[in-house]
Amino acid sequence: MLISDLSLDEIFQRLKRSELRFQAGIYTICVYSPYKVVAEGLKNLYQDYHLVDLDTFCDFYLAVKSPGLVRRWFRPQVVFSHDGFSPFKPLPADHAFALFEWAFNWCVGNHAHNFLLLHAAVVEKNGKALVLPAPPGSGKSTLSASLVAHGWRLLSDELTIIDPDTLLAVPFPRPVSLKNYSIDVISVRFPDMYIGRKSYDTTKGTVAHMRAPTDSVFRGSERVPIRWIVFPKYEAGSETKFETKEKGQTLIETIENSFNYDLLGRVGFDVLTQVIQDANCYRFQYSNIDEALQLFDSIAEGEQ
Amino acid sequence: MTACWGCVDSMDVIRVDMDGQTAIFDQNTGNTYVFDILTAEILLKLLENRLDEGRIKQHLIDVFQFDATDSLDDHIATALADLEQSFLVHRLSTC
Repeated sequence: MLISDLSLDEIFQRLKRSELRFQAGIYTICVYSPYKVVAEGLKNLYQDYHLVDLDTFCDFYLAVKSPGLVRRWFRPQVVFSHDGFSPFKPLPADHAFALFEWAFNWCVGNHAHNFLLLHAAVVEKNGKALVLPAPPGSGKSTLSASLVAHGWRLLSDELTIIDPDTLLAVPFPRPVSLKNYSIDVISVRFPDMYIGRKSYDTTKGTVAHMRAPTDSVFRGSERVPIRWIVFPKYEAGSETKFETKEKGQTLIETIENSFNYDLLGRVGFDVLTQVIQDANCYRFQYSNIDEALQLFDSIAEGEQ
Repeated sequence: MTACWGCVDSMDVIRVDMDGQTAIFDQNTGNTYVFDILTAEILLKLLENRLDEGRIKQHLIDVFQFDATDSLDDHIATALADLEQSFLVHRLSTC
C-alpha cells in the first residue's frame, strides 16, 4: 500500500495518532504531527512511498509539533523532536513541512554511522553513480534536480550513503530541496516535475521541494558503484568548464563534506581512499543547465 | 623545526598513494593529510629515522632516482617547510 492510496484526511488522522509509518530507501520512519501542512506535504511529495504495518520497527520516530500550548495559538511555532530530543530551535508553523525534511535528514546524518555519510547529491545512470559534493550555494541541488528531471535516477540530493563493506552508494530517495532562484529555474525548465508549496523566510531563504520520480522511489534498494565524483560550482554567466581534479585534493575536500568521517576513523579513510581511487574526479563550473545535462549525458554514454 | 614535531614523532600512519599524491592517515589522532609523494616519503622517513637527513637523502635518491643535477636539497627544504607548516597548523589547533 502506498501513501497515495490514502486520502489527505486519512494521512492527517494517522499523523495525529503516530500511525503514519513508511519506507524511504533503507529506512522506515514513524511520523507524528498535528499540522495539516505536513499531511499535505506527505500527500503531494511522498505519494509513491510504501506504508509499513503499525507493528513494524521504525528506524526513526520523528515528531513535528508545537513547542508548547501558547505557541500553538500565538505566533504559532513548530519544533522537531526525535525520541523526545529537540535539536533545533522552534520555527514558524508555516515551515512545518520544510522542518520535517530537515529533521529526517538530521536523523540519518546523526545516526547512520554504520555507513560513511557525505554531504553530497548522488544520481545514477547506466548503473554508475555520480556524486556531487559541495557546500551550500554551489548549485548542487539545481544540478542534481536537473539531472533527475532529465532522466538520471535520484539516490539522494543531500546525503551520499556509502556502504563500507561494498563501497556501493545506498539510495535514500527523497524530495529534492530547492532554494531561492533554483525553484523557478527548475519549474520553468522542467514544467512536468511537481514542486510543492514554498516556505518563505526560512534560514535558507525560500525553500520548496521537488517530488522524487516514481522510478527512483521504487528502486530505493538498488545500490550502485561510484564512478564519478564531481565538485560543481554555479557561476552566473560563466562558460562550462570540466577539469580533472587531483585525487588527493578530492580526498581532502570530500572529507570536509563528510558528516561522520572523523567518527569512523580508519574505516572512513580506507573507504574514502578506495572510492576515490576507483572514481574519476572532476571540478565543474557551469551557468547553462542544458550544457551541463549534455555534458553529463555524454560522459555516462561514453562509458557504456 | 624540531620544536613542533612532538605529534609527528608519535604518528602511527596508514599510507595510500593516489596518482602522484599520498594520503596519510594518523591512527593516533584520526587526522588525514595529503602531500605530494616526495613530501610524504620525507615524512615517513622522518618518522623512522628522527630527522636523520643523511639517511633521508639516500632514501630519496633510491626511491626517486635523483642524480647529481637535481637540486635535492631544494626539494627537501621545500618538503620540510610544507610538513612543518602542516603540523604546526595542526599542533596549534589541536595539541
